[in-house]
Amino acid sequence: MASKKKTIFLVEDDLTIIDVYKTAFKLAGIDFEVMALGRQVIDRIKDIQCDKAEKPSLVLLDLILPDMNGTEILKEIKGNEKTKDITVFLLSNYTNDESLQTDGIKPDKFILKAGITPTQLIKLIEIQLKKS
Amino acid sequence: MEQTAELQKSIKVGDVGYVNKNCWLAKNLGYPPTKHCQYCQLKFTDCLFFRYSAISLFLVFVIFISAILIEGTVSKLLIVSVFTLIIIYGYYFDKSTESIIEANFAERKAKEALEELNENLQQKVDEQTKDIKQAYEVEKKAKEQLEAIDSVKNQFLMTVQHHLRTPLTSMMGYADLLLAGNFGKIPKKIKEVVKKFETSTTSLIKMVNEFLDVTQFQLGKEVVCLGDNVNLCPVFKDIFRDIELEAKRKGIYIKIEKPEGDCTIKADEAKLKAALTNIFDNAVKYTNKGGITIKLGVVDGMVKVEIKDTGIGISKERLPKLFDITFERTEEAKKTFATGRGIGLYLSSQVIKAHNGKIWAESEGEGKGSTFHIELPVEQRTKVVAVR
Repeated sequence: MASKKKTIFLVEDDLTIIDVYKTAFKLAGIDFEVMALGRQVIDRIKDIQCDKAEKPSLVLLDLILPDMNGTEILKEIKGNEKTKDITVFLLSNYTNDESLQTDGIKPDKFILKAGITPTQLIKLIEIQLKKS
Repeated sequence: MEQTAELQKSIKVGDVGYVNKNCWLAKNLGYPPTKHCQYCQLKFTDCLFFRYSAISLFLVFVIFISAILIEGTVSKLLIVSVFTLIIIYGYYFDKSTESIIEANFAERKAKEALEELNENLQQKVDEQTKDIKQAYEVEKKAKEQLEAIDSVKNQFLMTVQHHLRTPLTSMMGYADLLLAGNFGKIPKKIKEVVKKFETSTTSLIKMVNEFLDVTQFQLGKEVVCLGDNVNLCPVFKDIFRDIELEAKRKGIYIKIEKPEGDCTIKADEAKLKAALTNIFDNAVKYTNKGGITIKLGVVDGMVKVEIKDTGIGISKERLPKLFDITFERTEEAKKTFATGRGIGLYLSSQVIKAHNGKIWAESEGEGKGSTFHIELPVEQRTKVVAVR
């Protein structure tokens, strides 16, 4: 039986960072989909909740997006029975508490973008994909 | 005088009167001044007391003359009785008038005093209410200004974090990808250059993180995120491995006394490790002769760490503010280690305090070494077994 294809969502708006991570994911053979706007992610999550789309194995979620704060997307994912089991790694360069207000909803991991190399990120992703 | 003249027009017998303490009659006859009306000083005939006294005397004189001139004992007795009654009536009328005047006067005085008090009180209340309102407005304005400044500081912090860290993320990312061979094999010389580039970028990121942490601490922001059951043993193991290598390179000794078994606390592992590393690193950095003795233990629910060195020491003047100073270094420290930034101790102490711990230092003075003490609350007790 063929194993289910594991896809990760990369939710990020900075083009340079997208390029860095894309290069790393391609070489590591990780299947991914890039979304630069919060609205795109919300629509996809709602489709998943209505069984119209496949769940990702992991979501790498940027905190600050052009159209919304990443915490709103986190609440949408973790606040629904059908999608709350999706692993979310919150990626950000912000470390002050105002930007991390999630009303008690926590990501599975918080990663400081400037504190992790692509190689280290790939290792974390591979460990997570093995678990799922 | 003017007041007296005005009162003179309105006052009448039996009415409320005023007392003049300078009354001629009171002074000369020894009559208590409270029993005279205010007119006494002006005219004797206007003085109620004088009037009745004068009338009484006149009536006595008339009775006397009548008694002499009128014939018939009964008539004489009748006239005497009538005049006596008039005198007695006059006397008691006078007395009662005086009593009324006195009572009315006391009442009027009390009423005036009360009105004056009320007026003063109302004036004071009005003044205080005005002062309170003004103070409230000043405080409200100050609070709004502080909130505005706070908002600007938050915005500044967010902007700096984003704009400093984002390009650094890309720089570090590309260097890492190059070295990992993501863009194909690169020549050795270029690889060496890229490695130096990566090292500098990592160092710059570390510096930016520290500066941002200092700013966040100074703004009273949360910098640490405490997690449960963080095992300190592997943390100390990593730190000791690094400092033992450095100490060996410098030719100084390291003695470490630590307990067996695990020791778990509530902690932000990465931040705490960085804070502890800084303290241990300093001990090695600022010791050129002799060595360092490290003692770890768990006593009364606290992890206790003692780091004693034979290094450059700390002056008595600097000791009390050692963990509060930022961006300042002593000349001796600069000579020993040129590239320090002067924020390590401040950051370490803030992180340890955010872990509900304590840090303090002791030293006999410059050139006489120093001892740093750290305490952190544990979640699990551990016994000290042996010295290694």
